[in-house]
Amino acid sequence: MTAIEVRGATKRYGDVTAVSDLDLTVEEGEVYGFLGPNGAGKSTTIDMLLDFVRPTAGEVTVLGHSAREESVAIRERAGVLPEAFGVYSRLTGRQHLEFAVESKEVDDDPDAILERVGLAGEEDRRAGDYSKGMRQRLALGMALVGEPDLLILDEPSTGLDPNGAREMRTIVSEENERGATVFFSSHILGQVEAVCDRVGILREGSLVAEDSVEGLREAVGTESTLHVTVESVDEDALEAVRTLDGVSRVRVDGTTVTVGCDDSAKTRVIGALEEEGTSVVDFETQEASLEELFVAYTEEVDDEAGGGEEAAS
Amino acid sequence: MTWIAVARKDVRDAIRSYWLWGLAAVLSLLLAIGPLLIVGGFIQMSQPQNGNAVTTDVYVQLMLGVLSFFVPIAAIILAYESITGERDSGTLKLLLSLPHSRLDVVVGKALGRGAVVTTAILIAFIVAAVTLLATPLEFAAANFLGFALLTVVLGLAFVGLSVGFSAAAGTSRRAMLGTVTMFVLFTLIWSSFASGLIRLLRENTDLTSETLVPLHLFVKILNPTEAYQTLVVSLLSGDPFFARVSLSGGSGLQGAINRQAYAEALGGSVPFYLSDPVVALVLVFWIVVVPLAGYWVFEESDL
Repeated sequence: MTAIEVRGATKRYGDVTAVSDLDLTVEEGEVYGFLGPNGAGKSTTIDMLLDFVRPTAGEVTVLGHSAREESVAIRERAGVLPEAFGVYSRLTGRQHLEFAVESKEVDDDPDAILERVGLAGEEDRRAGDYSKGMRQRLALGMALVGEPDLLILDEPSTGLDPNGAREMRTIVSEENERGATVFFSSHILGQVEAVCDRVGILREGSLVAEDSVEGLREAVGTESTLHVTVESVDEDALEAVRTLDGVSRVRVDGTTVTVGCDDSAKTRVIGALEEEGTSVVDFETQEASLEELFVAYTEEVDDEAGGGEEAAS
Repeated sequence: MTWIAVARKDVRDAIRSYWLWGLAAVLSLLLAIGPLLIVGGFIQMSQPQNGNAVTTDVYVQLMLGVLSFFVPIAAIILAYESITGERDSGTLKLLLSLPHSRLDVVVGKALGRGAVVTTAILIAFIVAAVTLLATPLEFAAANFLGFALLTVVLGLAFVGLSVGFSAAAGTSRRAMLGTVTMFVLFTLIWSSFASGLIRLLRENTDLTSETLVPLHLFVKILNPTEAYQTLVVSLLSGDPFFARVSLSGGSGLQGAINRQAYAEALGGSVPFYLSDPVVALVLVFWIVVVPLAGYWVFEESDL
């Protein structure tokens, strides 16, 4: 069964279209990263999954239930970390967890969950005195109550320091291993790269790409960068490299030669250097960073034709 | 249905915010001043009838007007933000991330705030009872208890009204505007509106007093504060007919003339639709129907 199925969902606010004819499928058991810059429509999409807002058109099904008609049934089996939420400032951390336990009609131990999200020792403080990161941990804890089949996390790393963001990713992995499907949004690719089975990139309310991290990289066809350390730089050798098929640029900085090339050309670059009598001390390859790829997808507003071609190739 | 969890959280929050205790303290103070005024002789006591001692019914009569004003205000202040406040602070998202329906939220809030107002009113009445026991007034327990319970019902009616507006309004400011408008309507305008309506009908139609008088009274009892007052009068006098006829308004001689005219028009008996149970039903309407109407708007709106 699919965990999330969105068919032709559109959400308009007056003249503004937040989400436009969106199709999205998240399979049971996968970790799905929902990417896009701020304002792309990620939160609106998540709000439609939770029945916080109602689509202008289209169908949204979560865990086999209609988001519009059977929202409570969905939220009984889903753990949710919403975006831009507030905490009950007068209630303590433990009282928040107790409320979640009571609401989901389960018998989880609030303290155990608070410890898991890194709030041990803070249980009895008023949540109003919590920092932004602690509130985020608290809401994540509330989402984990009742071993949900699906976790919906909207920008879960908001307000977390790098350490906290890593802990959050660890929890996502643990929950996935337990069998939960995880759907989470982020505007920072680095946060999803390590844990996601698949990612979808949303731009201006539409999905512009959807694939595994590797698949996306191939789809864009970006090249690698090769850093070669040599004993001494020889002009003939550089010329030989420049003329190789698949090499796009060569740059020299001291004894380091930086070559931009296709993955397949890497060995030929090293071979050409050695053939010309240049001894290679060391080399490393650097794949195109996903961040660049993400930028390629999301910042092409001024260059739409180019973006379309690239995605299609 | 998980409204019980919502209600419990709401009460817990009210206790921690000192809302409950603050409200109970203010109402207690208000209710304790009455006996002091009576004992201090500032209020002229009604003469004992048939040689009976003066009872706490005097106190009830004194407090009736005061409470019809302050209990609605207290209930509005307590409840107008019940749902919009959560919307404004973002906790509504946290709340609705859990498996609560929006109906659970409205019902839970109405019950939670209702429980707080009920507790505060009952605490204040206990304080008042203790104070009254220290006075020479004879404690008319049944009437006093009935008065306390009807006051609770009045409080619940305005909590229901406020929760309903809070569910329907997008912001706390709008919820406050709506509830305050209703309060002003009920306390200052309703009575003139009712008499104006009747005058208009009397001047422009062939309708006689036999029709207009019961209609006037019916319009009046739709106002929860008037419904409350006439039920208390009915309780004290044991005479629903007198209670309804007294709604005709006016004081002194004019009041007596009005009552006489209304009694004649009613033909000496209370019609079914002006009976105590129907008046009580009006209060129940405000407690139940307004929150449900608010829920209906809330259910259809985006967060």
